[in-house]
Amino acid sequence: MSGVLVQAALPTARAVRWRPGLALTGVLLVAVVLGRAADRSVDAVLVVAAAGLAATVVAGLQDPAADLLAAVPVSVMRRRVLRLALVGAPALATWWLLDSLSTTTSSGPGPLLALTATGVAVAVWAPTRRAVLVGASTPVVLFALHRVLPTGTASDVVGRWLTDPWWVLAIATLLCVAGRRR
Amino acid sequence: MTTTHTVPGTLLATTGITKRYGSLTAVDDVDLAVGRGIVGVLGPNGAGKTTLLRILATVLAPDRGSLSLLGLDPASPAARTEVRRRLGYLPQSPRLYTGFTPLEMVDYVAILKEHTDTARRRREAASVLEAVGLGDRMHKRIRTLSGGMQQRVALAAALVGTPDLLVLDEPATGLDPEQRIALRSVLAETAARGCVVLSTHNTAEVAALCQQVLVMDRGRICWSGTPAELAGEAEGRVWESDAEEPTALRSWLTGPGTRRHVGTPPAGAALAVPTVDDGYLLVTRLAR
Repeated sequence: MSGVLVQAALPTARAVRWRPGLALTGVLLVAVVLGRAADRSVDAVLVVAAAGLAATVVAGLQDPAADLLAAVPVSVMRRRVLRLALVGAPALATWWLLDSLSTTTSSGPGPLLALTATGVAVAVWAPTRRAVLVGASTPVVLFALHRVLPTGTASDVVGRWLTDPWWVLAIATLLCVAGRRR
Repeated sequence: MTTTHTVPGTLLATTGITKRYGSLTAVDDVDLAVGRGIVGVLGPNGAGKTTLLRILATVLAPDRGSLSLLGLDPASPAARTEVRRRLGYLPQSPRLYTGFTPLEMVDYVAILKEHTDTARRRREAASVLEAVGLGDRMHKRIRTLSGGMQQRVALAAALVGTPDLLVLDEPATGLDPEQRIALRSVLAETAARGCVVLSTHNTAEVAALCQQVLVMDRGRICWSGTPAELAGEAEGRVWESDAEEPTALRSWLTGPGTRRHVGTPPAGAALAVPTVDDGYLLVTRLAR
């Protein structure tokens, strides 16, 4: 099975839409470089990067040929894991690059991983037709709600991906595993 | 791995399979037993053909009933994987990676069908593309191909790996008459060693291709038999005249300008030789 996934990696990577992620990376890099040049904190850019990159990674699950591939022996879960690995690795590298360019002390990649896992969990459990769209929107919605909601319980709950990212990552991963047969 | 016991020679069998979407019963208590050959599934839009084919292709699990494909029960994950190794599936209106070439697309599907010998896999991908008449286009980008050619790429993807069970949802969509005839040869080859189940709205296709016909309506199989038997259902019940006929279940104006009727002919009516179309119309009207 691993041989199949190794052989499938290159064509799968070619099937992924990379342009949105590349565009986002470009914008984030410019924002960090400009922030640094102006001697301003780029914390907010890193938070935006976590949400944007997480959305991009989840969007990478979108497979236009999913119907044609619905009855192949390599399960949809394995194909999704392959796509996550292919899209997730450069997203993580981008995040580390942005982090290394910032001058502030980083909270680590926890928020990025937590938002990505949450988006994937939503994509796994959402109704099939719009699953990836809903999952990819989730990191952005959580980010926006955290910014918009007034300080309080709701804001605290929505912002767990920022304050307790590893717990969120663990719970979302469990949800993904529980929904693996969907 | 779970195996099921069916009549010898049966490649596909279902017992009481049912699939519901909320309050809609898409497939209702369907029993089937199919051996080697080509089976055509006819039926009006919304009859449940696509849902039935998705179940037969292991894409959807039925809510109720049992299923045996190639002697295996796909309810078990290991058996389902084994069935999929020997299965080709063409969904309705499939989408492809338009940046790929047909060869790359079919090769990719072959990889996911666990064909890991690269040289052999490439040869087979090229061979199925030749078989569907795309030998000269296999290195062009899919986005530059017509709709009919893209449909043939998807068909080639279903054919790769010489499947024993081929499930095709409206395979002739977008194909011109020449391509349809080529498709018949390709399917006949597969049917010689296994089972082909296809859904279609085209009764002429069924008459030319299939050994067995199933007519579905409202999720149920309301008729099954050979194409000749389906045409025979309308024996003595098809006539032509110049005027409207109140006793007809269905009437339509033909090319030469006469009216063709299906139903109970009046005394002295000029009976016509029935076709599969007539039989289908009669069967689906009577089922309602």
